[in-house]
Amino acid sequence: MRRETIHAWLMLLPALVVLAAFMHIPAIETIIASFWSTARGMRPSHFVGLKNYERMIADPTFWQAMSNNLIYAIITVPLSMGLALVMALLVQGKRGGTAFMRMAFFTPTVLPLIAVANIWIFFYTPGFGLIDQVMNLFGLHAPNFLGTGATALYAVAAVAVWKEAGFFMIFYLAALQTIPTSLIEAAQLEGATRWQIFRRITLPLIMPTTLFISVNSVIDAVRLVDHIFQMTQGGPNNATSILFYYIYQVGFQFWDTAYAATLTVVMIVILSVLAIGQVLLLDRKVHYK
Amino acid sequence: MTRVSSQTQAAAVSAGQPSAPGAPGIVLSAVSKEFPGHTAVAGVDVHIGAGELTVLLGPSGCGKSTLLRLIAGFETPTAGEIAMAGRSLGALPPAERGIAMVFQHYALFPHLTVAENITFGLSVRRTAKAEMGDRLMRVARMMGLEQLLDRKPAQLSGGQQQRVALARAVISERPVCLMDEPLSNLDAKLRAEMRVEIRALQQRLGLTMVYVTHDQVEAMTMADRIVLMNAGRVEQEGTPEDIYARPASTFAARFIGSPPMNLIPAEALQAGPAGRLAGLRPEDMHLADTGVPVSVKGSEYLGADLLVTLDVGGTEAVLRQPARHGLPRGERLHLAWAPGALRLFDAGSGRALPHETTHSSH
Ligand SMILES: Nc1ncnc2c1ncn2[C@@H]1O[C@H](COP(=O)(O)OP(=O)(O)OP(=O)(O)O)[C@@H](O)[C@H]1O
Ligand SMILES: [Mg+2]
Repeated sequence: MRRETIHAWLMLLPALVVLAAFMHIPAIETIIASFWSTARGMRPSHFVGLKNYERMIADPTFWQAMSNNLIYAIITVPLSMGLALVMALLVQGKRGGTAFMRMAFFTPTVLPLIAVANIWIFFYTPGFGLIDQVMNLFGLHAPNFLGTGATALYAVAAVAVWKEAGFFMIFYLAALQTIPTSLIEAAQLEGATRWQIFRRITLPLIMPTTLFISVNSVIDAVRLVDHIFQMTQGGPNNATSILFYYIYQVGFQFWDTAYAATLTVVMIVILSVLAIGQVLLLDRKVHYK
Repeated sequence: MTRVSSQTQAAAVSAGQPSAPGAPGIVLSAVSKEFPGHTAVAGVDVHIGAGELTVLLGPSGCGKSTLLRLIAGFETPTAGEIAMAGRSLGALPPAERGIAMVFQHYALFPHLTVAENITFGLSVRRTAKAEMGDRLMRVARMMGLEQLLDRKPAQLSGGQQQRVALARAVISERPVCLMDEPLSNLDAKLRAEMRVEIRALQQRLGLTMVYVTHDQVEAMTMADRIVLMNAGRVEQEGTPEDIYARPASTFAARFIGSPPMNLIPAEALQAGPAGRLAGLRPEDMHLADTGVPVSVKGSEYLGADLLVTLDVGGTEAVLRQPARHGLPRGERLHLAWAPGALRLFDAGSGRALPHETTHSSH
């Protein structure tokens, strides 16, 4: 028994070392850093207790980044998941053209987000952008999507949806393929309509995948910011500054590392609570084994 | 109002009346089904009697499931016509054909309870709650599932899952029931029990049942009529007794019976000219003092019976005799057979020859 325990630890050691060096220790250091001040010039870092957190609560830009992020998540999570499911249902069968459609839907996934951002900048640009050109055909003029505070956040959210839906579609496709056709036929035989089959058979059976995708898309709603660098840099007037982007700004533009660490701790706590909550909430509906 | 009427209706049905009065017959005329590069069913003519249990029997890949799916409407025939109660089914969708089906692997919905599985059809057809409850309880009692209604399929044994699948077919009260190898996942003992149960159910409810199997014992014990299939065609159609006693081809002769009918060159038995095969059932043969000389190659003890493997002029044949007679001793053994038991087949085509020509020697 003892020997086995030692063996087990030895086996785990390499992974543990890597995990500890690159994840656990930095995470703990981040938490510690959030209770200290940022070292500036002559003044070294010193313990400040909850000062950084108090400052955060009083920081209007933080709250704007939070509300931006909430809107961003409320748009991207359901839209990318819904679109993924619709696309998966569309290309599921063996009808002609589905192979091409699958490829088309999946392409955005293999592009780097920076490249995607460039494509969408071309769509959005007033004057020669695709959207403006199409609207010109009808004698209309497109607004400056990225330059207007009222539309910029939606414009960057659309890019994330476009990028993510194809990726999630692959998971839904795989899940749909695990449903035996005889189940669908049994339901058809009973006179179930396509909608009833979807609602009462397909949807519950792909629930585990939906859970997996929802956790991932929530994390992505916090994590995917590359295109914001490219398209708006958080502007105009912080309209597209979501939490992660704000952390970057605080940490690497203002060099306020302690405050950035504080914001990071908050982000991790929010993400953990969301992920655990989703698993617990959906778990009851998911497991049928 | 509705509540009262549904209850009286339920009472009437539970009062011992068959739930499917006047179950229709099904006629298949020259039905073919081609898949790209492969013909699964080739010109099948079958008459499925009203209220009868018809077994589609044949080896793996002979097109039994395809034929069943054609009847159900999950596949459309490339040629031919399927008619039910004298009316062509055409492209009628499966749900409107008045059929219930038990799938090979049961196709129970894994996320629904037993009760929800059984009432799935009623609920998608918006049957009233009270009537649904009545029918569920009646069918659950009939199938012995009362204690299991809240379980999920994964929490059931194979036999219990089988019962749920049956219950789901029965509760629909549709007059035709299709079954695709419903017992293939069960152990031998349970299979024997379920055979009896399904047959009893079919007779009690007066269902027209089409039952697919590759197990000839199932076919023999359950069927009113057997449709024996081979490579997409109907090899022979008839009652179990017919097919057993008068196989129409060497394929039928070898497929039915355990051990199957012996096929011996006719001249070795002095029963006909060359180019003929003589068919003899193991139990129709016995060892005698005179007749065709044979030698014993081996034996297999089955308890009641003894299977004796013989060499008949270079061909192996199996003889069945009561075990208490013991293994025959002696050098000079002779084979004899019951009069009229011998069937002749054309060695080339494998088709049976008319019975008259078999009255030759001995
Ligand atoms: N969808 C399909 N596409 C192409 N070929 C098919 C299809 N379905 C069945 N087949 C072929 O048709 C033939 C008959 O298949 P079928 O499933 O009817 O056989 P079966 O008699 O039910 O066999 P088993 O006893 O193994 O279930 C097989 O050769 C099979 O490969
Ligand atoms: Mg089959």
